[in-house]
Amino acid sequence: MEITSTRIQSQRESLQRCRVRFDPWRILLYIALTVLALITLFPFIWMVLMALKTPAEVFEWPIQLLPDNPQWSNFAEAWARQPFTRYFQNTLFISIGTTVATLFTASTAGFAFEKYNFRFKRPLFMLVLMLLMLPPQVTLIPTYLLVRNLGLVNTYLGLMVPGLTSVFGIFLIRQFLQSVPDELLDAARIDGCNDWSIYTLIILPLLKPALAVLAIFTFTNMWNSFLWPLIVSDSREMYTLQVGIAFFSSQTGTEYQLMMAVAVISLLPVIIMYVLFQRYFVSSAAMSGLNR
Amino acid sequence: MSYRLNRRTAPYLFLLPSFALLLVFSLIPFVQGLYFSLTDYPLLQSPKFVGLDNFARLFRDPLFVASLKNTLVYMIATVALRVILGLAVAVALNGPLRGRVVFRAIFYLPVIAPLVTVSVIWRVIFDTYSGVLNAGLELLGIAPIPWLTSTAWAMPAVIIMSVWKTFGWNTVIFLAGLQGIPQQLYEAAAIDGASKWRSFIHITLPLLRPTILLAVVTSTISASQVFDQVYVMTGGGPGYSTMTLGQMVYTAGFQNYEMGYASAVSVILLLISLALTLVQFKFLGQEVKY
Repeated sequence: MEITSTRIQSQRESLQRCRVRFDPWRILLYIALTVLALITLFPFIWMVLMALKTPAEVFEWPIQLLPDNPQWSNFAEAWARQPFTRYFQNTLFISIGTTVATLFTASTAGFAFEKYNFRFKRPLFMLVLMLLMLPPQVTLIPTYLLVRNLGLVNTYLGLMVPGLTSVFGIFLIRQFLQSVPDELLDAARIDGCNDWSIYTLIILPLLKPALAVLAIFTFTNMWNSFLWPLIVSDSREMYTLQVGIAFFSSQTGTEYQLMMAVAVISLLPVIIMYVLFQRYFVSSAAMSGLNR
Repeated sequence: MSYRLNRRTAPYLFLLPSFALLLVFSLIPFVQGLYFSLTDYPLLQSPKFVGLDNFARLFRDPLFVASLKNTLVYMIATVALRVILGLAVAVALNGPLRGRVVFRAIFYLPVIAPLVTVSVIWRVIFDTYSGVLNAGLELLGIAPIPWLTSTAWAMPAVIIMSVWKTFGWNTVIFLAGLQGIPQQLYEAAAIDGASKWRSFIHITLPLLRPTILLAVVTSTISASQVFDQVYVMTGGGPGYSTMTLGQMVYTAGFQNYEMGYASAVSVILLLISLALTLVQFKFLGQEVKY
């Protein structure tokens, strides 16, 4: 009796809460989130503002937030300081190359793991699982020595070779294929499809959303990667954008406006992709629990 | 006939590209790395087996001791902050909130940005004399802090930058986890008169435990490997103050060309990851029930 009455009471209260338009907690929440969002965005905003300043404005104290006269020429000047066009092309080439390769290698392997029974399936899968947790530094030195012995230092192949398949990708594809009914494949077999045509005609079209996630994941990972390109390219011709930027930043000393101009250009492709394909980025994060 | 044969060999053929690559560029290097850690191996010479000498040397090497200590400090601080901040933001965003998609997109932006590029940006922000951070602190009456040039502040600077870079990842992971908690539980708790805070403690936290554990372990493993931001912002300095294990592998291997010694450091990194993974498997075994 008592319990019911208090329940009704609190229900009434929560109903009232719905009716109240002004909820101080909600406003506070909005303020807190907005402040945090501004802090999160600030380094990017600051990068753009700094990229447009004159050398004198960079060191002005007290600091001036906005440049008096935006120096658009900083971009061209910074870009000309180093073979950045070349770095950009290198990075684009290896990012696209590894993405295409990974889409193929991960989708075939994920397909085999999900839709076939074969000997050593479990141990092979356990092996993949184990490779997932290897810190990159552990294979770094032997892989470098191997690539060196193969004469692949300072080559595109050398830059791409550790990224041509993706353990995360294999997992992603396998998981996605769990929702594809086996009957579909059986039906295709009865219609005379062999395994390769099942892969190309049925599996690949079905995998489109998963492949989109994987493509974006692989491309940005490669675009952003640093440690491997740093050690495997010692000639400037073969620098990637990130290696070039790190090098430029250590060479340039305090010409911050130029450093920031280069940073803007390096970020643009990633940000454009992010704006266009945001949901794929976010779903790859949610699934890459094992990868970061 | 040929059909049967095809079906039997097909899975192996499909696995071949990935496994050939993984074998040559992950598995064999992994085993080699373990072996190299037991050798004296200057680049351009062949490895000479020396047993556990490298590991004995590691623990006498002040650079390694500093790197290990710094890595642990970095791991604990970064992970604690990014998990707490990530969780707080996820809980705040997990409701009928106008603009939540925009907020989520903003918080996730640093995660997808290239680490080297944002490290360069933060180098400029942290500059002692012209940096905007010190300019802001001055408004609050705080004297300029030599962020990247003092042994006391360099590590906090690296940690601040890393938390900024990564907490959005945790937010997205936690948001996914929160979506799995049935809304009725909160409604029932509200009807019983539970406050928001009590619902958080008694519903959200226990049911989110597997997600939290996953986030803590993966964040810790990735933090143990920290390299790019240290390389760009401090180079491990000043002194050894921001030297980490990941940075030490690079320095020992690719600046001092001591491949055996560098491999020994990487094995220590592997042991840390391994221990964390075991923790994850042990605790993730217990599934939660609603």
